[in-house]
Amino acid sequence: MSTRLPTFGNVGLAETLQNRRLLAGIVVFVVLALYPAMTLNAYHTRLLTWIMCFAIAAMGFNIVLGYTGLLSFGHAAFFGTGMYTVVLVMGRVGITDLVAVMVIAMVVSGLVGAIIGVLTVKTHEIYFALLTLALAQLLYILAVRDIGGLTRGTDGIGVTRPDFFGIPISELPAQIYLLGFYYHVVLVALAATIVLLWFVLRSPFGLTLKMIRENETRAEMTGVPVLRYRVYSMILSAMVVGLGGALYAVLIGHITPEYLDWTMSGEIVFMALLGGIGTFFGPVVGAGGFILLQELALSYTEYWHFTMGLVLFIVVLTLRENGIWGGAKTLVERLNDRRGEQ
Amino acid sequence: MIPETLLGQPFVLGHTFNGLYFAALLFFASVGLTLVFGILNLLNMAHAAFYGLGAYIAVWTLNNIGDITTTMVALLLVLVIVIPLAVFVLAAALDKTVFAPLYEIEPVYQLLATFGVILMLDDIIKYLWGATPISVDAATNPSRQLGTIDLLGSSVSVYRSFVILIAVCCAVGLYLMFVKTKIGKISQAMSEDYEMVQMLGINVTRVRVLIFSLSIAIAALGGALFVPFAVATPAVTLEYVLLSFAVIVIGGLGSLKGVVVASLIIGMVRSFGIAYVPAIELAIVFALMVVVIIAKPEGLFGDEGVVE
Amino acid sequence: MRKSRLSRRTYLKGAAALSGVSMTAGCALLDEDLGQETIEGIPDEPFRIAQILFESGPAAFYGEQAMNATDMLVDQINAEGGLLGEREIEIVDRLDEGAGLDSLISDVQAIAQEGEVDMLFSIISSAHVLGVAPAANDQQMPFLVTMPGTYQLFEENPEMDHVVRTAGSNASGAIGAVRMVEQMDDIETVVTIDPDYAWGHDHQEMFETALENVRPDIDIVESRYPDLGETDYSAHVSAIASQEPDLLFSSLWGGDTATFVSQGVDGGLFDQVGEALLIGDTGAPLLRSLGGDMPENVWLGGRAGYQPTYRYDEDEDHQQFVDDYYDRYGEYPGWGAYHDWAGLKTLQEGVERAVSIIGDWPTGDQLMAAMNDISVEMPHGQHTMRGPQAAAPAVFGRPTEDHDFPVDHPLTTDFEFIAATEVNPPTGVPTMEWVEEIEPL
Repeated sequence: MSTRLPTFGNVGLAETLQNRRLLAGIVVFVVLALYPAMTLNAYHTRLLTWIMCFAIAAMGFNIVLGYTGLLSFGHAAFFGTGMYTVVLVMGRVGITDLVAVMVIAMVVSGLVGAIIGVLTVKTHEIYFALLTLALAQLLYILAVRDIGGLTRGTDGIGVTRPDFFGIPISELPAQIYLLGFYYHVVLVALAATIVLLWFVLRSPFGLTLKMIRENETRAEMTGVPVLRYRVYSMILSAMVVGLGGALYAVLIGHITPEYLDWTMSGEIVFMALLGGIGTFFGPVVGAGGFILLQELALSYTEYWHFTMGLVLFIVVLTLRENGIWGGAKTLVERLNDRRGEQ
Repeated sequence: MIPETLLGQPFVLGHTFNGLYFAALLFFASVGLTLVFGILNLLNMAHAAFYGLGAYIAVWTLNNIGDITTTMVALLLVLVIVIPLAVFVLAAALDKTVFAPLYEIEPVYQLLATFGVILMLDDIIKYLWGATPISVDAATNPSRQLGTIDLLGSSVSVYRSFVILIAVCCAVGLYLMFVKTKIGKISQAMSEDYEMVQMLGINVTRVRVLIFSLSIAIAALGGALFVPFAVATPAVTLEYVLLSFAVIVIGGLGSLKGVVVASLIIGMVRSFGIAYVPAIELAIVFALMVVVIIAKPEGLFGDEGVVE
Repeated sequence: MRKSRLSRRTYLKGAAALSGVSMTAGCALLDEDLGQETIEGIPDEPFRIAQILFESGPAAFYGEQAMNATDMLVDQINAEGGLLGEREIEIVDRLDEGAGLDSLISDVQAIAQEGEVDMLFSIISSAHVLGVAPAANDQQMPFLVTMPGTYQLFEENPEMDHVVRTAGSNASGAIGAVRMVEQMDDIETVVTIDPDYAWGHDHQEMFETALENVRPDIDIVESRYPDLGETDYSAHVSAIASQEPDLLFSSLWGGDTATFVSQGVDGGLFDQVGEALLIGDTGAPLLRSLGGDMPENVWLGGRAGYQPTYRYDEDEDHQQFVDDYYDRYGEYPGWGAYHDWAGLKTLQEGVERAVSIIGDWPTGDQLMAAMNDISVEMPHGQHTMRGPQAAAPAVFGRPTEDHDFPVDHPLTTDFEFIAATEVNPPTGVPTMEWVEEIEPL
């Protein structure tokens, strides 16, 4: 196959590639969609749902790190805001429709993103990392302190299951709700996020963000309102991460301030990096890799921190921004090239 | 709402003392971090993890030393000389192996790779000493043995006064090293222009190993001095990682003066804050960080060299 | 020490190799059997328990004791043939709470799915139990909760029929402390210091509310909340000492109490306060780690009489437990150990009760039902379950150097006992409502 490719024109090549990717994407989507019904395995389904929630969050996070070039150590703020919004909107306001709840969670996370974005807009590198960390920690402390009696401190709050367009689907047994309904909601949300970000990050908006990452001064000189774009990217990122958190809140069923702590931010960074922050799909792969690795390490050894630390260290040193996804892609390309040569 | 009794002088003295003591610990935990960044351009997130390691080594040593000696001088020498020396050697070995490749990569990746080091060190400590908090036995615990003296109506810990004294000595010693010695002057030059120093034919790797190991040894010294009055827990590591970053950001990356001033600010604000407004204890350090970074992104002394 | 999780690993491989999904599974949609089958006779294979506790982090202090006690007691029970003398117990898995709530819930799901565990056991953190217990209940996975004290567990989830808790609620410690203060003379001012999370805030709130009803003449002048796992209390110590309160109340627990008291002694704290009530499940381990530094004007204790010196001579079972624990581990058991002892005793009684009624080994549902409203003999007398929740008395003691035990640290003596009925709400009454209406004795 590959030997024939050069005979296509440039456009044709790109199209074919894209179609093949699209095809592969659709196949993966269909397989995933059928998985719970095929296996009836609640544990797997739950694990996959867990991974997909974090895949959304890691993709959202990567808008800021991978595309705008800023390392945030405060994205737990958005993840946690998404989670707590779900609880408060359902428990206090009384809105129980899934879609409405998710939209509100995204808006609220976006607002928090706007505030943090504006406050951090002038800082770079380590200062940006530490300022986002400190701001997120302040939010964490508000939750721990149970300010306004909203969060119930470290005991956390239980989440009830939302309904869907007036259908009282939450009354189904927990197992069936997950296998037959909620898993698919998260799957669709992930697919939508991927499609949306694919276009957004290839739009002029995404290209502008990349320009800022490459060279902020030059971007400024060519007339890009850098500061405003940085805030925009933070808001977009916060909304997507917030969606991940909101979806995860329903899955986990109980929310504690731990999800706002900086170690949570660290986990999201870890996932994106593991998959590859310089690639589009890297964060999705990274979320899966991270969670499976952690579960595996936990089941083999009580020294799972060491395992995770070692993996992080090696990935950073060897693969850098490519991550395992980028690394795998390069490997496949090389193999193809070699086959082509022969 | 300040209770009137608190305004009485003896307690102001007590709070000041607590603040100084905490500042001393912060200084030990963070001075090396800022030096390694300022001179060697390495942002080592795992730096303060060696503070935790020092604490565990000290508990272990003091709890096993009872058969050999219980003389106070010997105990203090172990804390101030023996443990830092041992960690110095360990750090030199680590610099040549684990940390060597990190000097070449961008700060963001340095942060992440060294975060991995924290995780590993965490479990090494857990493997060696367990996950349960451990403390120094009373018989060989200098803090308990030295007791307290009465000063102007406050009870003042002799041991903690000693720790503050060591911190002052350490700060003065570092200052003199940078100003007076050849190695100090080379280091300063390296912080300004690393390549230039290299081209002068100076063996920068040797200077690097020295500065790195010295920095780590000071962190371990801090942990060793910290533990007799407190307790070694796995959480100490992450707590001081965060605190040390707060210190160097507020003080300004790479500035010795900045570390001293920022340690004092955080130490005092925390001590008086806890005393008078206990509800905001947790938030103090982060609020300070936010204010300083927004108002002065380079930190208080960030645009100056290592020693001005 | 750690048991393997072979079957779970297989699952993980399956998840990882998603592409290898077998398409032949058919579409037998959601027809899984959620009903329980009955069990005939006494099964030959062991009764399999998965234990949940902190193996890492500051709370591992508690976890270690619980693990030690469980290992010892399971060995003893099995030496006699097992439950009912016929079915051995096997600890097939231990889940580390240090891995966080996500992992715990996911693990519980996996365990339920595999069906190779008969019961979940232990758990320490109140935050974790509030998440894990409803999840286990959803999976119809029996869960015997032994340590957390949050009164919200059953008040928030009244429908849980697969969960029982053998630990007293935190009300017994807090209200027990109020009953102690009620009898004290010369108390006008109180300072409270509690860890900055739900356990601490709940205790403080119950203590303050009830104290206002019982002794309106006493004033809580200040409430402090240091971090959980704080290593430097000196600023708090100076501030409290400067207040010179007549009473110091604290629900700090585990290593935190040890650090606080030791630094308090250093800062002259206990010379400045009249009495101190330390109710954070503090007993022998605290006294051991403090060595000779324990001040004398202190009451130690909390929910249930879980101190090795308490009714040691009067209660043979207790004596046996304490001596065995000491022989095996070289120290005296702390609260974590006692809590799991109560849990295993309740399990034994529950099995016996169920089998005596139905003749066969109970299913998960039946076993849990049998443990409701049961009572077992503990050092403080009958430890009684009201529905799925134990109602424990409160016991406090004074530290003393003067004892006959082969250790060189103080132990507790001069015990005060406050009956369970005085420190727990009547069945069906929400804890906080009861606390608000509490009356003087």
